[in-house]
Amino acid sequence: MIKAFFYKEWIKTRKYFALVVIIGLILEAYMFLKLGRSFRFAGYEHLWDVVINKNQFLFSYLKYYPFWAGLILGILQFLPEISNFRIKLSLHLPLKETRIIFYMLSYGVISLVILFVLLSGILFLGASHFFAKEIVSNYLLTTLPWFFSGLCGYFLFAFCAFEPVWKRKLVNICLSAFLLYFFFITDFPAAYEKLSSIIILCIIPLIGITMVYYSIYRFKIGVQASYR
Amino acid sequence: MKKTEKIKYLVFVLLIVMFSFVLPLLWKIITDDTVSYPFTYYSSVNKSFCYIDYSDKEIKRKDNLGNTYTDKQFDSILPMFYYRQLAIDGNLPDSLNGLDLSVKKIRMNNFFFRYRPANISRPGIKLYRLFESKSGKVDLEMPGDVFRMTIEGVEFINPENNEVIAGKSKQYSKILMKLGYEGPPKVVGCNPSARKAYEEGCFIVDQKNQFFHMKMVNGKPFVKKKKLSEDFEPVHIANTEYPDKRFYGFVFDERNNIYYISTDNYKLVKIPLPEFSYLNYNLLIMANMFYWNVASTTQKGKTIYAVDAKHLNVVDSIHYLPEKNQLKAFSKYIFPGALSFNSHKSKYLESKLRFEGFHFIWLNIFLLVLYNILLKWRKQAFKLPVLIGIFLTGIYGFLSALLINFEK
Repeated sequence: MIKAFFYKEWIKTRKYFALVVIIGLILEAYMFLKLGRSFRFAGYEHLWDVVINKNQFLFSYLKYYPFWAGLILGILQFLPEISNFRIKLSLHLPLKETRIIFYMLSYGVISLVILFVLLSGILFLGASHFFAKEIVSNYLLTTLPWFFSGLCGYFLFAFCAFEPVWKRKLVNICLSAFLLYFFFITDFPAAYEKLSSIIILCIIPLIGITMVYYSIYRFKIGVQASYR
Repeated sequence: MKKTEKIKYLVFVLLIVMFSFVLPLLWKIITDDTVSYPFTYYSSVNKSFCYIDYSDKEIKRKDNLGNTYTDKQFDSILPMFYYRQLAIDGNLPDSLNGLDLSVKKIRMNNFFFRYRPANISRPGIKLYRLFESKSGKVDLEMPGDVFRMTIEGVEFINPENNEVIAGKSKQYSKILMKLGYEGPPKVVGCNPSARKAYEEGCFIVDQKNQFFHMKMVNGKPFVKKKKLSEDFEPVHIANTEYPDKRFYGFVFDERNNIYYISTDNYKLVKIPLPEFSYLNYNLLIMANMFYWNVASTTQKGKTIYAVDAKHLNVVDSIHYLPEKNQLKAFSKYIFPGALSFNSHKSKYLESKLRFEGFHFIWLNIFLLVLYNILLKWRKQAFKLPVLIGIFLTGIYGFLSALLINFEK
């Protein structure tokens, strides 16, 4: 059954998600090409100086990519499900609905985690080649909230999309926008390095997952507009 | 309690958190106004604070003794600040308070030092730069490497190939270890700017509270050590490298004291600042050969101390309160606290809940009654956690409760 679920999700998303992955790889390649150009024009020492003393982040092109990747995967996976109430078919399978939703979300989470680990790995290897470990860790910490925003964007799209009542959908969108805002509050490199911020970064996706279950529950029982 | 009901309460709490961030922020955007204080400088001529008052449409130049000045007169009572204008006009006095004056002498002794809490409270990359301090050239040249402090000493890295320069690292580490250095350092103070009069290297405080002065002289390491007292906990070192070479820089300690590191055997000389907190106060020192104008600013106001430059004792002080913004102040009657994630005091992302007393309690009670009336009108039963939520969080809880139906 798990295989069948994963296969269904794979069929739905493979082409467009492959495109998202390719765009991510092109984006990283472009950033490193641009970095190489900056090294040639400004010199290694100057660029290190800009990074260390002027708090310049050289990979800011990556900022919104994980969020869009998560959102697009959410759209690819869940939009076909909510159009014509197709998800009701899945929810009527002889399995607990929580398990069905778990399989669906697992596919998305695994896909996004593979993509983000791949991109972070390239970033880590590339940056380690050019920069000292202090700069590399600072850069990875800077991108951490952005990658979390990708996971959250995915969950929160599902949270909003499955909500059956429009009025409530608007509330969900506002709440999601607020939760997502947390990942983009500041551009200062490694501003999220304090433990309290990292804990919040981890809590928000958990909230997102919980919300998805709630929306799908409301969707399944067929909450009507009059019930809000 | 059912699972779905639990999730409803979770949404309720999240909406409260959202409103406690969004509503005060909107209120701030609508009501925010700049807080400005008059430019104030202690006069070495009439020994009183002089200030430019912008509060009326007309700019008034006054002193604390009640005198009003014209533009030219104001320049002449503040010769340490307007010395260039006075020199152009030919009005710079030859001597003042028994000391000869010249543009060069004034420039040598004047300095501006600015500190903000965000200077300390920020994530940073712990790589530093050591310039050649005796290059014999007017401008400092980039050294071609950066260094990190390690447990065993120093590691110089060449940015060209991102590799450790073994020879130079060993040279410096050997001297540090010989002097008893124990890493990693608690505080490192380096000025990375190449735009300074000269290079005095870096100051390091190690785990044993030993103070090291490390610089590069003719390509070779120069390291000096001084033991600090056990209870002295430095939190920040700001290298200054000012032309008069009276001190190397400022040290801020955990007890909110500020010292300068004297060039006379690294003595730490305390700067008198009766009220200061390195986490909350902005600091500006405008110094001249007679007096230091030490200004500390918070949201509660600005205090300027006139400090005798020679003996470092406070001779006068002046305090300004911020102008009252009635609309902004009214927020405490509406909002029971405000959530924020960033502030000008820190570059870190930190969640903070600002609380300004219980002025909001009457609105909370009113909203609680209103919510009960609404429930009766809708013929719905009340939920105790929601009522408690509204009572505690007022407008945030009320709006959140309106958006969620706890009945269905």
